[in-house]
Formats: sequence, C-alpha cells, structure tokens
Amino acid sequence: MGEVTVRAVQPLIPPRRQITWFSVFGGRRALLAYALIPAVLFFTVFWIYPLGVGFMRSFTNWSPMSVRAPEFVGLDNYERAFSDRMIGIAIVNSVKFAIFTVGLRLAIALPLAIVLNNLRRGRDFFRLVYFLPVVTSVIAAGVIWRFLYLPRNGIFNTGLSALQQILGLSFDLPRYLQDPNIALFSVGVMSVWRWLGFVVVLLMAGLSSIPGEFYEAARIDGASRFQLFRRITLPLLRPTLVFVLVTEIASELQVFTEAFVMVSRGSGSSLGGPANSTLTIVMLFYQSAFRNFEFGYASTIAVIIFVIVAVFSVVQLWLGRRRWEY
Amino acid sequence: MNGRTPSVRAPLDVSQVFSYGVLLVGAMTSLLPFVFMVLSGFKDSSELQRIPPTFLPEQWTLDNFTWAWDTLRFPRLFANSILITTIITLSVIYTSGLLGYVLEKIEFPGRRILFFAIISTMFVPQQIAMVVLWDFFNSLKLLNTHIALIMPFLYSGFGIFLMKQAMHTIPDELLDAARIDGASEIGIFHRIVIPNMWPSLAALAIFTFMFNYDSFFWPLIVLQDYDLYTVPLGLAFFQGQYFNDLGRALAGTTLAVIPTLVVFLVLQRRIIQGFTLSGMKG
Repeated sequence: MGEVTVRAVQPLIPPRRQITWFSVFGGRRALLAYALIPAVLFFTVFWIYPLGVGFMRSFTNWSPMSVRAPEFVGLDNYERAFSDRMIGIAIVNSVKFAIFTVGLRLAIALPLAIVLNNLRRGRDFFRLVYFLPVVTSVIAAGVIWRFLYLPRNGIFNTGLSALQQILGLSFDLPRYLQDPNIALFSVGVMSVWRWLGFVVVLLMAGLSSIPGEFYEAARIDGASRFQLFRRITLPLLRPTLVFVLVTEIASELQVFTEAFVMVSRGSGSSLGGPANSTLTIVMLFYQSAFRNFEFGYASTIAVIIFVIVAVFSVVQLWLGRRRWEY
Repeated sequence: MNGRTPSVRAPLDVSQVFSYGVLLVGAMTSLLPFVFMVLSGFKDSSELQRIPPTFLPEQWTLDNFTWAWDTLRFPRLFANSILITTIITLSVIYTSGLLGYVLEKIEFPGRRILFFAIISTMFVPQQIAMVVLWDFFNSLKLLNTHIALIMPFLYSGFGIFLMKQAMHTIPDELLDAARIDGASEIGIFHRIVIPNMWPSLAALAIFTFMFNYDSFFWPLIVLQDYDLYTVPLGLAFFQGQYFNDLGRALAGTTLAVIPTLVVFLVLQRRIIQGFTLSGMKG
C-alpha cells in the first residue's frame, strides 16, 4: 500500500424517513430481535426458570402426585438429607468413583498420549482405535462388559483360572459385579475403558502445542528423559491437565447410566446393588424423583449434587492456578 | 520425548519397539471387547455357558440376531433416534451460529449477562432443572412425546460458546464490506457468516449428533411407550429383559452398535476433531 487516505465513512441518511422493507428487516435491531427474542425465551423457560424454581422447591414438600400445591417446609428436606444414611453412602460412592476413574484414566492416557505424539507412523490408526469405545453407546458398553465380567466363564476369570493352574495356586475368583467390595470399581474400569481415547486425544492436542525447541534445548544441556518430562512436558501441559481434571471429575461425580445398566435390570428393579455399593448420588436423585415422586426432596438432593460438583471444581481450579514448586 | 519428529527415517530403536508394544496392547484392549461381542452373538446358549469359553463359535447361528431384530424392533428405534437427533442437530447448529455471531460481533446491552447465563448451562449440573422441566411437560400433557425429548435441547450453551470462539476468525472488514454493499444484517449472517463458518459448524453438528444420539437419562424419565423409544433406551430395556440371556443381549447390542461404528469410521477425522474442540463429554 503506497499512501494512506483517510476516508470518513458517511452514514447513508435517506432524505425522508421512509418505511421500507430494508428499514424494518435489514438493520441491526431486526437481527437482534430475530436472534435474541427466541433465545432469551428459550433459556428462560428451559434453564433459568427451572433452576430458580427447583432451588426454591427444595424447601417444599412438592410432589407431582399430590393435587395440593407444594407447601413450604423450611429446612426439613435438608435435615432429612443430612440424617439420611443412603445419601452419605451415595456421596462416598460417587466421590470414590470419580477419583478412581479419573485418576486411573489419566494415568493410562498420559503415557499413551506422549508415546503416540512421538510416533513416526501409525498415529492416526491408533488414535482411531482408541476412540472406538468413545462413540459406542454407553448401554452397549455396559452389556459388553457385563459379559466380560461373568464370574464363571467371563474373559477375566477364564484368564485368572488359567493363571491359577499354571502357577498351581488356588484362590476364589472375583465376582466383579456381585461382590460389594469391588462392584463400584468394576463399573469404573468399564468407564475408564470407554472414555480413555477421549482423554488421549485431548492430551495429544495439548502436547502438540508444546514447542519442540524446548526439548531440543534441554537435550543439548544434557537433560534426561525423566527431566524432560518433569521440567517441560508437565508444566507446559498444566492448563490442559487442569481442564481435563475439572471437566472429568465434574462429569464422573454425576455418574448414573454406567452403574444403572451394569448392575440393575433397568426400570422397575432395585438400584445401586449389591448392598448399595454402586448407589451413586444421581441414582438416589433418580430414585426419589422418578420412582418415589418426592420432587421436593429430589430437588434437595439436586442442590447437594450442585454443591459437591462446585466445591470439587473450585478446589481444583484453585490448586491448578498455583505455581508448582520445584 | 520430542514433539517434533525428524523427517529422516531412522531405524527402529529399542524405545520405538517398546512404544509400539505398549500401543498395541492398548489397541487390543480397545478392540477385543467388540470382537467378543460380535462372536458371542453367533453362539447358541449352551455354547455360551461352556467353561472355558470358546473364542470362535463352533456352531454359527443367527438365532440371537433374528430374535433381537424382531424383539428390539430395531428399525423403529433407529428411526426414532435419527428423527429426534437430526432435528436437535439442525436446530443447534443454526442457533449456535446465530447466537455465537451476535454475541461476538454485535454490541447490545445485556450481552455479558446473556453470555454468562448461556455458558452456565455447561457447568451447572442439570438435575435441579430436570425435575421442574418434567413437571412442566407433565402439566402440558407432553410427557411421553418426542416433543418433550426435543424441545429442551434446541439450543446448546456449549454450541453457542464454541461458535462464539470460532467467530474470531471472521474479519470485521468482510462484514463491513457487505454492509456497504447494502446487505441486510440478517442477510449477512446467512450469506457470509454461515458459509465461512462451515467447517466449525460441521464439527459442532457431528458432536451434537453423537452426544444426543446416546442421551439416556432424559428419555428414560420422559418416555413410556416402546414405540417412542430411542436406541439406547430400547437397548437398556432389552438387556433388562434378557439380563441372563447374554447371547440375545449381545446380538441386540451388536445391531445397535453397528450403525454408530460405520458412521464413525466414515467421518472419523471430523468426529475426533469435534470432540477435541469440545473437550466435553456427556
């Protein structure tokens, strides 16, 4: 560009104010009305209003089966929740499940992502294969894993009993989904399997944004592989790791379908077995809302779920923001 | 441990062999459950009881599949799922593009509050709203209809957030040029913004489709008639019915999984890209 000319853009002012098609439908106001009126209506009706009403009604004895209007009962629902043994069990189960699945998944996904990122050939192939379970319906995954976990002739116990014979040992084969001590973790392993490829892909995206020069410079200085990982990969991957942890923990705390489909027979049957070992907090919410139709109490449980998820998210963000000391 | 690999091909060293070994074990773990699923669907119930289990069916039988096909009424489930998910997806890409554009490129009062309300849908757990929404549809006598399944998902906070980010790439000069040429503001969105945003919209479409196709909780509490069921719901019901008849359950599962896998294998690049953009899961 040779010379810069300064132009004043004159707004086009029509000589008379005419009402034309363009003056009504062509301008910014028309676009804003077109975009915002339905959107504001939608988010009010389907989000803001239900949130507000749900919160308010957690202080009532609301039930959709009752013809009477919900009555304000103060903190009764909350008192009931805090003395409800089941809620304690469900919260502990959900927190255990979230920490177990997210921790194990990350521990497997991080090495896989690093190895994949350094791969010369076949990267797309492996990424594709790891991603297959992610796109499989969670119900299908549950059925498949119920089959793998069969106590008598499932694949895991077939392998274990072969191992027993080779080593000449004898121990009781685990009953993965029937033993209250391990059922929750058996469901968790399925969840780790299903979402592993997703976390691998996210971590790969984070890893590929780390400049290769950092590694070259460090290697010239004689850094070992572990040092490269510890001093370059880990700190520069931190934003991705924090993001993955926060979103993963938040969604795993709300686990429902996996446990629902692997342990119970579905609608009508009892939930959270064996011995309440797979009862999660969202399952309890489902039970009080849509089996017992105690909507007031269910709203209270929903508020508790919200508080738990919020506390976990805030704590992780706070920890993630702090500089790591070396 | 290097992100950039040299283009000169060096012979495989020990660490490379080890890497491929680890990756192959991972790949087997991902794939084998599917192999077992398909093969076991072809076994009869006595073979499925055998200890130790067989790998390949000794006697291939289609009984489980025909039974599952008839009982599941799979075409019905599939049609329901496709109908619902397509309507939601079309609506979400259009509304996300529109809202993303307006929130990013047009000044108006209350913009920040609106954006905050929209992205709160991504972070606040849905259960509080769910009870009220159920009651809302119940009072309108719309429970047990596809309308109740579609309506609450016509907009997506996540989609709007994603498209607002993507709108950074549209230069303001392009929009101003169209204005000088006398284009209407709504016309600019349709004729300039949408064509330019097509790759992002496609990624969002695929993500929205897969996410909603597998939706379970809301359909579970809304629908009662089997004729209205979606694939995940029908499959869950079916596997509850045949809880201890795994041959049938696995055959049904195979039928339900095949369309998803085919779509995934065809569109895999865009799907993985869509999920990476999102960083979110159900």
